[in-house]
Amino acid sequence: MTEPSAASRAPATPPEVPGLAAERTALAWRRTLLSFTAACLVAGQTLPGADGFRTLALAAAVALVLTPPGWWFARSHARHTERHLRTPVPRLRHGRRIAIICGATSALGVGGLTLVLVP
Amino acid sequence: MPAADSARTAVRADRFPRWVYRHGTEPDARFSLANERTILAWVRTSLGLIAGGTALETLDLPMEPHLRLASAVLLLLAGAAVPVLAALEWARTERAMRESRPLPGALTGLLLVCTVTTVGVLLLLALLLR
Repeated sequence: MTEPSAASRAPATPPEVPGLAAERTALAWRRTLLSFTAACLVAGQTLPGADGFRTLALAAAVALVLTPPGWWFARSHARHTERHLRTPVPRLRHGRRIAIICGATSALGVGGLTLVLVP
Repeated sequence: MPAADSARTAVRADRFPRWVYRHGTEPDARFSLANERTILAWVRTSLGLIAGGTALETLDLPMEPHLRLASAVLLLLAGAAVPVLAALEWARTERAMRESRPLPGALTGLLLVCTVTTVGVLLLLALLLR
């Protein structure tokens, strides 16, 4: 009896099992939100009056303000993805979240540009 | 038409952006998630550009000041532009996957290469002319 060829063993269409894709995406969101907080900390150093103790206080304030919503955002996004992936036809709705993070990053860039150009 | 196909082709008026989701059928979720991770990587790249541009001016490095300022401005401009371009590319890619078309090319990479090369040259000059 001959072994079936690899082509005949392969399924006609690949199974749509997401595997660890959702987890990798959730981790990517967390990395991005951490980077956003770090970039805000750096950009905060250009604010007028940010010097010495004020710099440290400003950095702590930025971290405290941004970390809880960032954590909540990442957790709710992961849950949303997991819930949708359990349905027969997953309908991921991430467009608004992507627009928010892109808009916020672009606004941070414009803000940094303003602070650098306007003494 | 099977129920699954019907569900795939249904118009998704509640999904943003509509100009992406009202076309085609649902792609494999793994591909959509990979597309999402790609744009997040672009956002992190943009944040790096912003942090670099800001740090150049904040740290007051010993360089020719005008060239240093030009480098910082270029980095910040790119940092502001990259997320917008990346979001458009994410949407174009998602739509191409939904319509089973070839994926569009990446313009954001070209912008990044040009910016980083120009900033590198400017910073080299700024160090030499200080």
